Amino acid sequence: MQQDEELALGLQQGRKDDLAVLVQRHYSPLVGYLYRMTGGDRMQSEDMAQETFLRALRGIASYTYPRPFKPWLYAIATNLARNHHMRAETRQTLTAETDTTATSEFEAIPVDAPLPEAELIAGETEQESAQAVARALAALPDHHREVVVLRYYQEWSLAEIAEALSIPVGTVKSRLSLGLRGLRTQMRPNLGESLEADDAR
Amino acid sequence: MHDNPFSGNPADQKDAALKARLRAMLAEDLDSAEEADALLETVLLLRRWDAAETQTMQIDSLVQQLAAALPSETWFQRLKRGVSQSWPLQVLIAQMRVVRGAIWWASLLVMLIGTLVTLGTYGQNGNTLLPLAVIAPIVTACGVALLYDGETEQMLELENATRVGGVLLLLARLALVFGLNLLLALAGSVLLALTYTEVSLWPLVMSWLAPMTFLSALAFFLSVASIEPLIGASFSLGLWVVHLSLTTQAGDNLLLSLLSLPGLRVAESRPALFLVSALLVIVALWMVGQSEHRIGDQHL
Repeated sequence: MQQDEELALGLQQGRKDDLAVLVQRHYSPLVGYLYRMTGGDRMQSEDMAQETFLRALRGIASYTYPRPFKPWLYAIATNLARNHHMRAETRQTLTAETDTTATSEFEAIPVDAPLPEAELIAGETEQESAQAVARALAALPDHHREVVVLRYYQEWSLAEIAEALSIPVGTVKSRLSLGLRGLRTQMRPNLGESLEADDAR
Repeated sequence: MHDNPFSGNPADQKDAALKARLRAMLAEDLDSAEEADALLETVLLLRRWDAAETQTMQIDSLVQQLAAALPSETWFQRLKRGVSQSWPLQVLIAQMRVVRGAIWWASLLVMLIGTLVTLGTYGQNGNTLLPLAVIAPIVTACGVALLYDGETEQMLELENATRVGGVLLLLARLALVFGLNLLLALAGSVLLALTYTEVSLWPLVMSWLAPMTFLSALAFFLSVASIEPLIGASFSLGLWVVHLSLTTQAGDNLLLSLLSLPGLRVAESRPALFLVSALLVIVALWMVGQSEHRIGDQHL
């Protein structure tokens, strides 16, 4: 199997076959990453994944072999996700100031929405459980959410995350620790009950 | 909990494998088995939030759209990429930082002075020996001699562990220092030929190129053999001084003519000088290779 880095060299030379392999290999995981980063907005995450590939192609001349390609690609996606959040938060603030009854475009999971502690109750549906996880993730600061998603959904190594986010491995670990503690605090009240009830089902 | 790894149910086995994997990741992240256990449920709950799989058709359609944005590389860009990604060039660039800065500046300064003095004094007193042709060989030889010393030998073990190896790294440094001096002397010669129309470029270049190559190779060889750069530099410098001084004094004296090593600058001996220079460099690099093995064996 050809390495991503060799395929990236193919992109620099305009090879369509190499592009197809890279998109097939990375599109779905990238959508999964962005889906969690956007609070479960499927269309938004697909648009952003496409935009990520487009930006990667436009900037492929700046890619230097043998730098790891996957972190390079996800660094682009992470920047897009951060910009998306900044815009969403700005819109939310402006909307709240002008019209308290209007809803913002980023309404899938409002970042500053209060988290109902008893959300993960026994007997709730899978969808409700997923929504509660999404809310808890959305409530995390961007830099905590990024490392949590890359680590526990994408199952990246600490070194890969450090490379993609341009931070030391030690910082990745401390952000993971803080992020997980934040999530646990929000999910604690009914966390055990939820898992047991799910297992019982 | 449905995580019995001995259960026959594939879904249970998959769940158990996921749980074990996530627990191992948590233990690595938190540097604590207890904390990993405490946070495992949180992470297991996170994983229940699935993102639906993308359709193959969706990916195919995206590839078609993106193909339009694929860059079309011009021949110049292809050449540039090929050069920048070639490993010899990458080795050379990396070694530029390793060579002592004083060597670059000393070469630049002395060659500049030599060129200016040559330009200013050309044609005076009927002197046929140009200062540039006197300076270029010995500046290069001294620079090259300084490439190998006791410190370099100590670094061989480390360099030998690199993908390129210590011998090639040393060869790259040799090429860099010799190359810089070659370029500087060439630039000075071109300037001289442009300033004085009676100066022919090719004979001028050959008057310093052969002795420069030979004296540099000799200095390099002696530095490697003695692990003392001063010996290499001093011997080459001494040889050059003897040659220059005796050549002017020899006249009809056969003994002095022989002692002045006339072969260093006559056209007929140039092929032999280049050949001997190549041999000296090859033998020196072979000796470095042997030192690498010897040092490596000592640490086994």
